[in-house]
This record gives sequence, C-alpha cells and structure tokens, in this order.
Amino acid sequence: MRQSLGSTTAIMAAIRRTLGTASGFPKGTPGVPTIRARQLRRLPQAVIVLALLTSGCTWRTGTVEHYLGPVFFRYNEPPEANAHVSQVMRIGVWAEAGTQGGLSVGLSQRIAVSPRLFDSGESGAPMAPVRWCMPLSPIPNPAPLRWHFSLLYLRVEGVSEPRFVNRMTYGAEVVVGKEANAFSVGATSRTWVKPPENALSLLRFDSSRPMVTLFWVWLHTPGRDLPLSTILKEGEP
Amino acid sequence: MRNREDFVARAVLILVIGTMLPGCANTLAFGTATKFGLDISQRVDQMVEISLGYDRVEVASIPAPEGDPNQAEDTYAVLGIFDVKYGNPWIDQPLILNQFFATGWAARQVAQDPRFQEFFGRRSGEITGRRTEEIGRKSP
Repeated sequence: MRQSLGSTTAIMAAIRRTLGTASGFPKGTPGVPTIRARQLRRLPQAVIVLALLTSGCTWRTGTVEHYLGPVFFRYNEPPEANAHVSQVMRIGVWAEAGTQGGLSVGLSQRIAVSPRLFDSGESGAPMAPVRWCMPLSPIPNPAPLRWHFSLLYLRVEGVSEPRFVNRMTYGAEVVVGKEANAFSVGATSRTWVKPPENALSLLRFDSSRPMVTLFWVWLHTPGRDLPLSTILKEGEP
Repeated sequence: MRNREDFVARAVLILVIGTMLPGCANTLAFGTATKFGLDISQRVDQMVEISLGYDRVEVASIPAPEGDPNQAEDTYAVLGIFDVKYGNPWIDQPLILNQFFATGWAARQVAQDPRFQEFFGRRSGEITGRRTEEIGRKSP
C-alpha cells in the first residue's frame, strides 16, 4: 500500500515537472527586452481568447446529435450513397458528451458510417432519412456532399447507430466511450468497425474519398436464404 | 500556485486512468490505429496499449464462449476478409479498408456454399501473396 502511494506521488511529481510553469521570463532576466516580456505575458490571454472563439461541444444521444460551436461538415445518404456517411471537422477546444465523452484540443475529425441494410432475399430496404439542420444559419438545410460551415449550432436528427467510425486528431485528446478510450498527444487516426450479428457485411472505405464509402449489410432471416449470387457479385473488388 | 499544480497533476492522472477503464465486452469488432506521439489507449480487444513515437495497429476481436463448444453453444462463427492498405499518412496516402465478413448464422450459410469457399480461398491467397511480396521488398 505504502509502495503504491509512493509510486502515485512520484508520477504526480513527474507530471507537475512536465507541465511546469513556463509563463514568461522572471523579472530582471538579462538580455530579454521588456517589450518581449510584456508580449509573452499577454500570450496566455491571447491563447485563451482564441480557444474560446473556436471552442464548442458535441452532445450525442441515440438518434440525435447536437454540435454547439464552429464545425465544418459534409454528409451523404442513400439513394445516392451506399451508406449514411457523415464527416465532421473542428478546430480548437472541443468537448464531447453523451454516447462518447471527452475533451480534445487541436484539429479533430470524425467520420461515421451507418450501413445500408438488406433483408434476406430483398433487394434493399429503405432507410429513414437523416435530417441535418442549422436553425441559426441563413442556410438551415445543408445539401449533401458539399462542405458546410456551422458557426453556432448544428443538429442532426434520425441518426442510426454507426457501425464504422474513423476518428482523427492532431493535437491532444482524452476520450472515453464506446468509440474510443484514449489519452493521446500528437497525431492519431483510429477506425472501429462493429459488424451486426447474423449478417453478411461488405465495407469499402477510402480515407481520401469518405463520401463514397460502401457499407452494405445483408441480415440473416431464419427460414430464408441469403441472396448469395448477388452478394458475391458485389463482393468482388 | 502549488495547489493549482496539484489539481492539474491529479486531473491528468485521473484522465489517464480513465482511459484504461474497460469498455464494451464480448463484442465482435475490427479496429485500426495509426499513432504518432504519446498515446495510451484501449484497443477493440480491450487490451490497453501505451506507445511513444510511431505505431500502427490492426486488430480483430472475435468473442468466444467461456466453456467448451458444444451442439447448443459453439464459438461465434465469423468468416471474413480484412484487407487494409495504408501508406504514409503525412504525404496524403490514404487508408483503404476492404472488408467482407459474415457473422453467426450468415457465416454458417456462406461457409456451405462452394462459390463462397472458392471466393474466400482466392481472396485470402491474393492478400497473403501481396503481403509476402511486400515483406520481400522490404527485407534486404
């Protein structure tokens, strides 16, 4: 127990040393002009102002997503697309809550894909439309495929559970949830695929062209055969 | 000042420990990761990984029952191809995933079809051959 406490104290001391207090030069440092010191003293304030201007938060529930703050985004959905695809990019300090929690600083991007579902023997089940809206913007209903910018508030309704997620961060992040549990400083790119049970899934993803991602799922129904000829034809690269 | 440093140090420690908490258990999942820097994360197979510098990970996690398989409860059936292509992400070489997988009862049905047997065998051979070529090119 004592050893464990000792280790914890040592780790905290190391973190404290790493974080340090490097805010400006001490008074009277030789060779450092006064004006430089003043500028450096204002640097934390400038950083705080910039962080506040670019900060925001995301709240995700099962079917609705709320983005409060500046984000770039685009999306694609059937019948034009082969899956529901969304790409959201943000810069600055960003908090996440709901199904995925966390805090990130820097540039981060999330691509989420919900598959197009087919039942056994059926040629394709219709998907419920996902509604993207920016109520506080002059363009409240953004069109698919094009990049859009939401300054204040973006709401996405009718979201189905994503089975494929790609998260990319340049900066630092701490995230906890079903998409990722991570603490990272630097550049990270993570993908996560969770195929449905009792189903045949086909996924084609190219990070340079995420809007044309193909994600089809044929669900197995007891007593009915899967359309194996059609699936095999689609599965050939 | 000292109290503030203590608070920040404690917060960082708690967040690091928080990332190590177990996530969803016993689920079928595939994952990839490219990391550059300091990273403490949990992979899809729930293993905690700490890396400093550059690292790449590809993981497939397939659940299995705790006891021996029998007629009523067998190991979860999965039949799939997990094809990942990636280059240098810093010079715009994309990550390309090409996955084709069947799970549960769908996997059992697919496994009995001779066309799919041929398809999976051929694709697996192609991927293995490409991998062997890459290893051959990299080794002196």
